[in-house]
Amino acid sequence: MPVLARFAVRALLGLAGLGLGVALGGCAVVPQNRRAHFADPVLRDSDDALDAHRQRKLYTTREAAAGGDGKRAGGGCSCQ
Amino acid sequence: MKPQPAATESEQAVAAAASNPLALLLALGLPSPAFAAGDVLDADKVLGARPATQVELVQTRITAYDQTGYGYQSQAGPKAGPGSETLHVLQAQGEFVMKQGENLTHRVWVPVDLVTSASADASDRYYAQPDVVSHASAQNIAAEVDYQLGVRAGPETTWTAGAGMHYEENFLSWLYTLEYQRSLAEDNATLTLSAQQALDWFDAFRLGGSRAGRTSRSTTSFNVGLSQLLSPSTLVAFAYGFTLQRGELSNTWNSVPSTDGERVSESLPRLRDRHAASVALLQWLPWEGALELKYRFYRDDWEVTAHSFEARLRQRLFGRLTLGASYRHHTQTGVFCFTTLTPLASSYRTADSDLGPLDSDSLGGSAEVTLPTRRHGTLFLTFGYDHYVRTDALRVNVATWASGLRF
Repeated sequence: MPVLARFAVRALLGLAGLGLGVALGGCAVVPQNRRAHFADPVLRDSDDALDAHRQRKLYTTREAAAGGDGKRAGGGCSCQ
Repeated sequence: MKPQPAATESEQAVAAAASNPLALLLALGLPSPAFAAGDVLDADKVLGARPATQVELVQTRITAYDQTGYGYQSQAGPKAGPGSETLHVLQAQGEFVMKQGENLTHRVWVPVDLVTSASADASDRYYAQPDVVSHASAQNIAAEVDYQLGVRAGPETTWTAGAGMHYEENFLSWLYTLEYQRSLAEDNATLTLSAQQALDWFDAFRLGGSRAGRTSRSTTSFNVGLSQLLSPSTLVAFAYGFTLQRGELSNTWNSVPSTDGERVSESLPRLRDRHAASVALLQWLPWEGALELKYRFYRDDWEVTAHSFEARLRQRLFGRLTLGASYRHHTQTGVFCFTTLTPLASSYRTADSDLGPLDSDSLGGSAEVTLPTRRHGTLFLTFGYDHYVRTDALRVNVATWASGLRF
């Protein structure tokens, strides 16, 4: 497992570095008039904050691995 | 009678313009007496001033969690064996989002949890003192209020600041958040940096139920996120989060079976570093569907390593009905001090089943109906169900339903 973990860490850091490079490098691959799909509610539903909260509660209070999703990881509740 | 086809957005825009003579002149490409040559067109002059405030979203969501299982930290069973972890939670949430002018967005979020817990109730059976878990035993109500203010500082930059307060019978928390978001590469990419701070102040309990004063915990999180459009229908997102926790990291009432046949209190280090990184892919599907794939890696200095994989599929049918399905698999190693039978001399110990080695699977489904209204935005009604099961036989059934208006 440690070997797998190290591999996963390096892979994710590599992907994050790639993403950072792509983002900061200004990779404008999709012009504004071709982004209609991203305004489609079928894609935007993943932004529902209340649904995300109830799912996060299900997982973070029953598993030992929280964080990395832009929300606080632990604290704020006695069940965590 | 043949039904009338719904007006397209462009037709609606023309109809809206027709109600305003200046806009109509502009739409027809005719010169307006109100504008001299060289004037810069102002949308407010043409269409009238926009309202100072505009509600964007109002919604409520009710979720019921029904949990069964056994864990060695619970006293609802034999002294040397696992006790019941039966738990029922009814959670109500309300959200209100309002835009003020062009640059300010206000969000108020109120979650309320009603909790009953057999694991905590059982303490009363073994010991004389009632309410060993703070009155958090038989029934507990937890409430929180969060407020966030988003400020658009420029065409590409948004700052969001938030504060909140969480209250339970034995527990008080203050929550703060600050987020910076910047659009890059003509809005093809988004960089998000955020920091969160939670301060918890709560009662400590001895195993027998008597109070041992107040104690505290601090949780500080830093997060970075990046998203990038890869094509007109594909988006990829990366995220990394670091969390530092200090203080009393136990809930103080968890117990551990000991080698002398009794139970002792859980004891955990007062410091924890946590790291999590994830990558997600969001794909629009040409048959009015969406696929979301996510992998997440987690590691902390309590020797927990975890991997989570998640897949979500959504499909719109008949224009107004959206069906969803989701699957998630999670695997984790246990914390270094996890045990189900501890020697009395151990400095750190926990029998909390959440902190042990486990795999979990979650399968869910949802359905949402949207109904456009003439004056009040789009009404939506959602129902969802999830079944969560762990390798230690803990099971949770979750039913959730939401309703609201999007403007």
